[in-house]
Amino acid sequence: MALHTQETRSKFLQLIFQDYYRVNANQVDIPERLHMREFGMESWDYVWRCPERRTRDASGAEKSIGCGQSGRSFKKFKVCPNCGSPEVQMTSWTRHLGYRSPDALRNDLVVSAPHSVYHSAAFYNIPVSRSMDEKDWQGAELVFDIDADHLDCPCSQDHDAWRCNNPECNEMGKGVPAEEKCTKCGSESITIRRWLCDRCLGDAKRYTLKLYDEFLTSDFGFDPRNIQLNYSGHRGYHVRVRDPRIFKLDADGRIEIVQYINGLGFSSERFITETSMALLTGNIPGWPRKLMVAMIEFIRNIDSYDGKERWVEPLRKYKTAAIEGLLRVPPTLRIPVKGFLGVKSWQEIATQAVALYGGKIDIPVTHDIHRVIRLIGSLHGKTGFNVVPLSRDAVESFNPFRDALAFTAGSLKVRVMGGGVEIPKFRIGDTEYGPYGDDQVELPMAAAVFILCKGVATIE
Amino acid sequence: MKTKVITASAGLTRLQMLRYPFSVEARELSQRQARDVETLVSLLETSRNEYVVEEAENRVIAALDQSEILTVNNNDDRDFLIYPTSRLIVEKIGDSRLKEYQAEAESKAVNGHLENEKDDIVLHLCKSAFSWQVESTGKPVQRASLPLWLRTFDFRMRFEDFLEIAPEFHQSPWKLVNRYLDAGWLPVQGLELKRLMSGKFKQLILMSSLEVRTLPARITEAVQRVESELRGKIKTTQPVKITESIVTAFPPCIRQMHEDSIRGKNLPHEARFALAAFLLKIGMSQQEVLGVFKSSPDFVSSLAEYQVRHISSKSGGEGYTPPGCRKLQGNGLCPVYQGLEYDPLCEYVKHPLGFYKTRAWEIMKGIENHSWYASKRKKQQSF
Repeated sequence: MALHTQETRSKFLQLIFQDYYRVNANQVDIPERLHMREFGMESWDYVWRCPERRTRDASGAEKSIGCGQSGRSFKKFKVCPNCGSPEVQMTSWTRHLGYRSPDALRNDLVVSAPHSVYHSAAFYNIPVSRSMDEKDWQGAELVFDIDADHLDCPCSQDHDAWRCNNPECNEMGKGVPAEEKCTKCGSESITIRRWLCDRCLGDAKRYTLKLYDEFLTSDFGFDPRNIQLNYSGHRGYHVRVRDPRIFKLDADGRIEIVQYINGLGFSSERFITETSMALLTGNIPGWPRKLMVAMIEFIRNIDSYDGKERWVEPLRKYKTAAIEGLLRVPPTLRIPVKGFLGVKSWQEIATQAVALYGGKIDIPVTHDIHRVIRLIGSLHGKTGFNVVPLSRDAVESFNPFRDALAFTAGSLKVRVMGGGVEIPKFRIGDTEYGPYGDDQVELPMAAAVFILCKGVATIE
Repeated sequence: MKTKVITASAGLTRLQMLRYPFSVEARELSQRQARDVETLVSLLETSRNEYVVEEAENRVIAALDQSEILTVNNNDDRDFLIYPTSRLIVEKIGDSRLKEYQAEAESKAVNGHLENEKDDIVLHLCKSAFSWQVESTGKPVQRASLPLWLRTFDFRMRFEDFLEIAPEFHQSPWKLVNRYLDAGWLPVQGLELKRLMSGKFKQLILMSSLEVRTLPARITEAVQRVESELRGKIKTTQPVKITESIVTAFPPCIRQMHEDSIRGKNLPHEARFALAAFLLKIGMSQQEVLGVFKSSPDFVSSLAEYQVRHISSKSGGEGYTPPGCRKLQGNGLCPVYQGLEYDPLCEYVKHPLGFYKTRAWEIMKGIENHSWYASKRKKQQSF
């Protein structure tokens, strides 16, 4: 794409985001203890800086590289626009921002209309300090991110696309290739274009509700009043737990919570033995309570399991008998077939079953106690969608393609750049659009903003 | 010496207060005599308090020798100054290994005392000293109606409190995923709770620091004696000087990231950081590290340069320390933890740099038999 069209697009999106914030700044969530939060913003344009340094060339003569200048630009360039140095640095990120009052935050959103805005889950005494030590961490909310990126949704094979970065290959294709390697030249360096649809967002929703119902409110016993849910604005959902009792938990403690939820590190040998099965009935709290359900679900779906363990084949063959055994009261591992699976196999099956049954939360988001998370009520620059706060029950009926739209007035003519791999169809409101190749189309504003934000269209 | 036992208002005996220096009661008694470090220092200056310095020195030496820490009970309230004075000596010396010895020995002593302690005292200490929420699960008879799995647990505690300490212990029963978590509470056995309590005391020592200014001669002499003992005890083991980076000495996690990166695989952010910080720490130049990332699909030389420079320039040029084993495991970056690879050395380290130093040394000495780990090293984790 030519640089000026990229520039026009970014400028346009910034302007309409600005219009949005001008009217809707009061919709933006003000996080508790605002003055103790660090904010981060991603702008539509870049800040560039050309560092100046002295070095020696091949002959040993001293020379200087860079001019020390800096500036802002919507275009991304590889060399300094001033002196041509290749060491120019560009970033669209600003971190270590802080606001003393809700109005200061809202005003800044109106003025800068960022691509994305985030705040720390942590509370700091000096949130604007540039070093973590000086920030003086005082605790952090417990946050979870459930994103379709981590769910292995089958629909990604329909709507995602990839291109090989090997300049001699440049192969493209639909979906995500096996092991994320180019199918033609085998290069592991490929660029993936992720898309979103009802199905992958539905999966993310299912895991969000599972996290809420089976883990946060039951096993962990968090008060629903202390749990805030929201749509991320793109491919998933966020969960914030605001119970002061967990604020001081360090990263190691948070890792334990993540591993509990994701079912990692479960010692199945403690629960699955020749004699223990009879004891797995009744209400035993924690993972044992879920174990039977997890194993039954796992065996029911054994046909789609791609592991190569020795028990996979027999389990496929005697699926029904195995499930019947587990459903008995008390459950049994014995199956009326000679030479069937030993206890060791069953323990391995249980470990796999637990990990598959577990939640699918993005691990670093939860354990990184300095992480920033998207501000509720702001706009997401990759979709133009609103980051919508949700209650537990609202999640069920929530439809991002209908309920998160920020731009509903007017229409816009755009040029879609389907290129080699066409833009998959998408739905906005009740209307379905696409698929598109290289097309010129006039679209309602929400649909036009969506594909502009996705980076697959330019303004006519 | 005859021990006269004075019962304190909160239910701790005098002996118990001396045994549990972290208890609110013991801290109150010592603070009543010396409300801060300065007052303590000036108290220690007088010759009539000489025995306090002497006993404190013995206490530190015992920790250093890994012998038992004895409870000194002269039936004199100044006995309560012995523990704070021993902390003062260790803080003055400022050696992290000595502090580790002290924390370990003090926590071990507490664990030993707790073993014979009655439940109500244990509960009282948890609540008053650590603000932990712990409850008794009732007498064994009352537990008879519970599912068999739960009957052996004497207490239940809040998971937040459990997680303050349990992650320090690496065996699988300490993992939250293997606990019977219910509505935020989890059952613990008496011995487990006591282990958590002594672990908490250890953590408190390791995390606390005292501002120690000049000390009077009496205590300076004690400090000097402990210091010379320390030098004899811990042979200053200089870390292996790394002259060239030995790829074969990389731990499995770093080896994996390194290979992936060179092959142009797109590494997650956490892996890039870990790899860059690791390579810089073992002495690679910024240019060499950049070379490792060159084949990355989204390689932008200026940005990568900036990031690598940033990682290497943290804390006045010392650079960021790469993440330790636990963090890598949490991020799914430890192939050993995931059961994909195995190296016996991994069980004896907590950090990829620790692995590297030992393995590099082995390679330089030509040591191929790794059986020495078990006899010379402390096991840090098991897979």
